[in-house]
Amino acid sequence: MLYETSPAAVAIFASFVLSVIGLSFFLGRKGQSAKGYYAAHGEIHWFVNGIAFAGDYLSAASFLGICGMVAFYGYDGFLYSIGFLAGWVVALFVIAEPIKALGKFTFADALDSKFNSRGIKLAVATSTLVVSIFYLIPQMVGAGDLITPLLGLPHAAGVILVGVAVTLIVVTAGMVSTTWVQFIKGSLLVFFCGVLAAMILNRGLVENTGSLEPQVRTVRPDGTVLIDGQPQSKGHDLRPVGSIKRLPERYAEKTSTGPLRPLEYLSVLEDSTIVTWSSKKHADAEGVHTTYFPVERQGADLLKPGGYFKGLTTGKLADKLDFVSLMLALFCGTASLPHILIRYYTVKDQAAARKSTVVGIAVIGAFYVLTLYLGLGAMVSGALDPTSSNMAAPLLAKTFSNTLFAIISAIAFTTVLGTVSGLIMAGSGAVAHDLLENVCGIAMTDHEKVRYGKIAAVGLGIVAMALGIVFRNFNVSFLVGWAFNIAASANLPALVMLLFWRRTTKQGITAAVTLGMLSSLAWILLSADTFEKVYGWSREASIVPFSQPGLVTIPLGFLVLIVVSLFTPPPAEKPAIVSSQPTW
Amino acid sequence: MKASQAASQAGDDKRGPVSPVHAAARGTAARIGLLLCLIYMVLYAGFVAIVLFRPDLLASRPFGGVNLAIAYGMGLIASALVLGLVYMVACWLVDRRTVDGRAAQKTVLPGRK
Repeated sequence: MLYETSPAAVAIFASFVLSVIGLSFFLGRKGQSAKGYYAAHGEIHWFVNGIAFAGDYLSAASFLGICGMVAFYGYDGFLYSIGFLAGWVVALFVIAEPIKALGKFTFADALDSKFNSRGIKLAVATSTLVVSIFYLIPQMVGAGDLITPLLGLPHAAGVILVGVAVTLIVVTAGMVSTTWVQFIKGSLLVFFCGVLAAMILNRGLVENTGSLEPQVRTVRPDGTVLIDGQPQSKGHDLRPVGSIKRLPERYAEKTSTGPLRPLEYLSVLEDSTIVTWSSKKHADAEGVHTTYFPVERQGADLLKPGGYFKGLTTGKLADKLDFVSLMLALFCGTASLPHILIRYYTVKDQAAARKSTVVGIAVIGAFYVLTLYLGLGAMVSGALDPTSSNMAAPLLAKTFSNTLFAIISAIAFTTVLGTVSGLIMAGSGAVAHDLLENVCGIAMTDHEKVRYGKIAAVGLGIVAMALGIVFRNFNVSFLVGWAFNIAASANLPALVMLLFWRRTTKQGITAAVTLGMLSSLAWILLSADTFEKVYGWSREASIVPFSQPGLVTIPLGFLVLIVVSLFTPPPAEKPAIVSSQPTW
Repeated sequence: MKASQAASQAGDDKRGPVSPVHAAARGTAARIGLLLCLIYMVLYAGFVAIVLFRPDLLASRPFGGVNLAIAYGMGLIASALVLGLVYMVACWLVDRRTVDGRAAQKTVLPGRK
């Protein structure tokens, strides 16, 4: 569908970006120490940190992706929400306090705290960079993809805008400004999702009788687009879709339910008949034709799993294992994402780390419940673009008012800033603090630590912009899944065993991180999903039994750590403080 | 480096240079955390198991209104928060006992400067 540019959305977005950059310069006006740059002096209040967790974690994929998935496939988008939130339980109960107690600026500090080994630092810094860059690519490509429909600018403009804004935010005041940007973004996102959800409930469910004729979109070899055989234009475009055909019996006389309570909304929806739209493609000499056609479905079917994860209904063991593997990776991955873990160094102590995680769980959990309503509301709003699930939430907002559309569009775009600045911070720490200072052994004064960190951030910002433009035409949404799997396989086994098994050795940790990272990456590159979506090969050619690696590679990480640790000398019980003494 | 090594001992080694009472208290809190984590893992695994093996149950409406899929999903999100709050209170109680314990220790051993 073609979108009209909303000047209000551009204005809201521009004022947001200018005010956060202004705030960053204000926060960065004083000279900085390394502790200030990498860890916001460790003085962030736990409540602010909790909201900033939400701003860091809830990426554009979370907001637009999950809303869109619910709007198009029903319950299955919520399965992701459940997995994404569950990971925070691991963060709270197992990871938060030790990470805070053991580390200083980066995740590598914590894993290496007992050993002082360059091998560990190198392995962990590499895995931090790999995970952060995999996570970064979809954010940057997403920024480019979103800016066209939301703000009416070309793809590259979106990528460069985000890249420059984030680099400025990070370079001015490092973790301090990153934290406040994430705090502001997190609060705005959850607040306006709440407003939108309240408006959905207030409107209730409405029967609508839009046209149910199939629609055909043709892309001709020269790139022009036809809709039902005529050139696409503002006046002749795909019709928006998604509606309720029949409300339950008890509303037989009415076409609208009026305001509904939250759970009532879901139960009425379950008893309704809903029209969703599917598509099929075929190509001939004229071009590629996509036919969009209505499918009448019972609400009860849409509100249970299986719409997106077709494997859940096939009964094949490999499909079931794939699902278990995904749910395991989501559970273990969150607490191993470097850009989340570095937030723990911004608070005062372990109690603050704990409290901020609970705040994070409350805010992120609320957000996921709200996105379920947003997705379902969009599903029956009669406003969906059948070609793009990402636009579900903004288009839903448009059914209420153009101002709300402008606000939601601007917020959807600013969600990218919060997450990307966290990722650049994590990468900057890995390059400057872990690799240059600790692995290469470059001695740095406090001032130099900050300067190298900022140079690394600028470099990563440029890399991020380049990747966002290069990967433009690739399907990058699955890269977030890769990042979760690699983080869970490489980082979690090492961290958990370090905390709970005294016999863990530095060689064990280095081997587990390296092999966890390589094995999950190799598995992904050989999987049926990658064969089909990335290389364009047949699914059957894949040599691994299911696509998600976590179920195999997370236990493998533990196994490697245990075996290697048992074959290497145990760590000294006490740090070798005598090593600097003469040995006569 | 020294600071982080000391912290390492505090977090991970009960014989480290922290007050033994405090280390024991952290031990108690950490055990509570692991127990709560285990409870959540059972709930989460139960959900995954139902999705895989008894998908028919998910459409049932055990509480009248919404189906089990929605109720269990929302329940998982809510229980993460509830367990988190339980943990916070538990840690607070343990910390308070530690402070009391330190005070008691001081009164018992006044000669130890």
